[in-house]
Amino acid sequence: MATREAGKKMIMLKSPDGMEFEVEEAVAMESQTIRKMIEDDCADTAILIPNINSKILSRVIEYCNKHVPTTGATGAAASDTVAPAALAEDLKIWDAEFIKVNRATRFDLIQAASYLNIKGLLDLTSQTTIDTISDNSLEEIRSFLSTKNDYLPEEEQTIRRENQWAFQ
Amino acid sequence: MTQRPAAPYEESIESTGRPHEDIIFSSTSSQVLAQVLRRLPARTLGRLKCVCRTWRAIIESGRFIRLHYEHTGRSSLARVVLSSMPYDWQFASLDSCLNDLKLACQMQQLRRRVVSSKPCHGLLLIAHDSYGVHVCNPVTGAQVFHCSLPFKQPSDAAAAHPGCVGLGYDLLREEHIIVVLAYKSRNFDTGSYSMECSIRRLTDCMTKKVAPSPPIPVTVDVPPVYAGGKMYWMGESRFSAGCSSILVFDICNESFDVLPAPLTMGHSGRMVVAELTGQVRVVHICPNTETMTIWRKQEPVTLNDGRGWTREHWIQLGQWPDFSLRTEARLVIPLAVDDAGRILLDTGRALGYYDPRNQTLETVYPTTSSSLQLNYRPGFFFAVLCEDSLVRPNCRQRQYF
Repeated sequence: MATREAGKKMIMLKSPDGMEFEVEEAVAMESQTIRKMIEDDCADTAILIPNINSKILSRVIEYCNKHVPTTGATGAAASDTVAPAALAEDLKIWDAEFIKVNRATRFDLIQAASYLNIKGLLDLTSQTTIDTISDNSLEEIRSFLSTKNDYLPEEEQTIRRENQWAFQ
Repeated sequence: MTQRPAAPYEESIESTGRPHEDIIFSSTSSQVLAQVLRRLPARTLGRLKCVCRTWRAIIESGRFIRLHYEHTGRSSLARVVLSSMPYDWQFASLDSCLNDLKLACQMQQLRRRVVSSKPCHGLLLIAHDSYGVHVCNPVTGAQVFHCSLPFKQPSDAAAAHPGCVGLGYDLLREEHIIVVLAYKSRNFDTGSYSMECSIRRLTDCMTKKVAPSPPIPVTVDVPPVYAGGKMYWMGESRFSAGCSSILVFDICNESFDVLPAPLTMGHSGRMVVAELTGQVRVVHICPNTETMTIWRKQEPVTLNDGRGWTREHWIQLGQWPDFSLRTEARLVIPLAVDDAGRILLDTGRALGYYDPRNQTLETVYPTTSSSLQLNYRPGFFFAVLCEDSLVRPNCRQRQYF
């Protein structure tokens, strides 16, 4: 912690609904989009994050806060008493707990992770959805994502025929 | 006689842009969906088109196909498929051929060795004397006939105008391009030749001659190699101008360049260009010593030493009968390197993994247990790698909607 305290620089993130979040620069730079802004000197004291509301933004910051020490301080890892493997395991458990949200929130998180370009968060949020998609039948996917089948029966047959290679 | 009034516009169904795609991707929910779906394999996506209209529209859009290729396609070079029947190319995975003997026989009927080119941005080009040039996606099985061969293939010894054809990708315009290189005339005795290069873009299907003619003569019995926006051909050693040189074609600028090839001891054997892990390699195959040498481009290119190439592998093939350069295989091509660093070798009759660490070669196809080998001598197979992608081989893949 001490090493981080020393060169600590704060960044203000603003959500469109008027909330402000003060975060360490290193945490904010988990987002490649913000990192680019900072590196290009486009970032003043505050950065407005459009189309991500305060509720989602606070969760994204929570994720970045948790993930910054492991990725950021590899140089200090030697002096660290905690083994990296145990740390990674701990992070995994934390991630699993973090992603226990409803579908709407998860989709918002995917969108935020995509916009802010946070690879870890995007992988985490997408993977959960993928798991449900790849193991289930079409009917189950539809009900899970509350999507309606808007094909006529004969239309669906045609599409099935055209994509026979995928059903074999 | 009635005359049609002169109209200030031409009636046309030509798309003026990509408005349809913009509409599909305008909602955040479809953007999120595309983010998620691009991580799935092509086969699953083909099935998911049936979920609803929106999903199908997203999956079939050119924008999604590119997203998917960037995420999934590039990293999934591991699958090998065998194909047969030139007028309607069929693909069968290596596993299914190993399990199904009948299928394996079907897939091994080519009378002549066809050196396969590797997939280029999801698509594969197959050129055959009688059936012309096909571009296909081995995953979806979609294939499109593009043109007949504008030359005779060099297997035909008497052919006066041999040539070769390859598939490249224009990184700037984001489209596939067929590159044809053919001799107008050549005479090894007098050393005179004339050569021509033409290109054909898959989006407009117009064949166009490339203005500068190739600066050196090249070998045309193997297809060119595509790597990083450029096509590579090995120089023809029977002409002094082409000796130990490589012809490079930059697809974006439509310009040629010549690269020195690595120097070898003696003059026996032959050199071919190959692509491994996305970079160009030079392979020297020598039947006298039964060895195969693979060179990698040195980065950064230093000028003075061995012409900018580093020897990466030196493989003694004599000890494996299926891969022997004297008896069985006259041309062994490295197809790919897997995650463990093993090199996949293709002879046209056998496939095997060479492990550089302990210098072993494991034949993966056909297996010794298969009676295929015992019963009769089958023809050649055409082994291709495939990338897991939905890229379409048709000419309108960008303005599909």
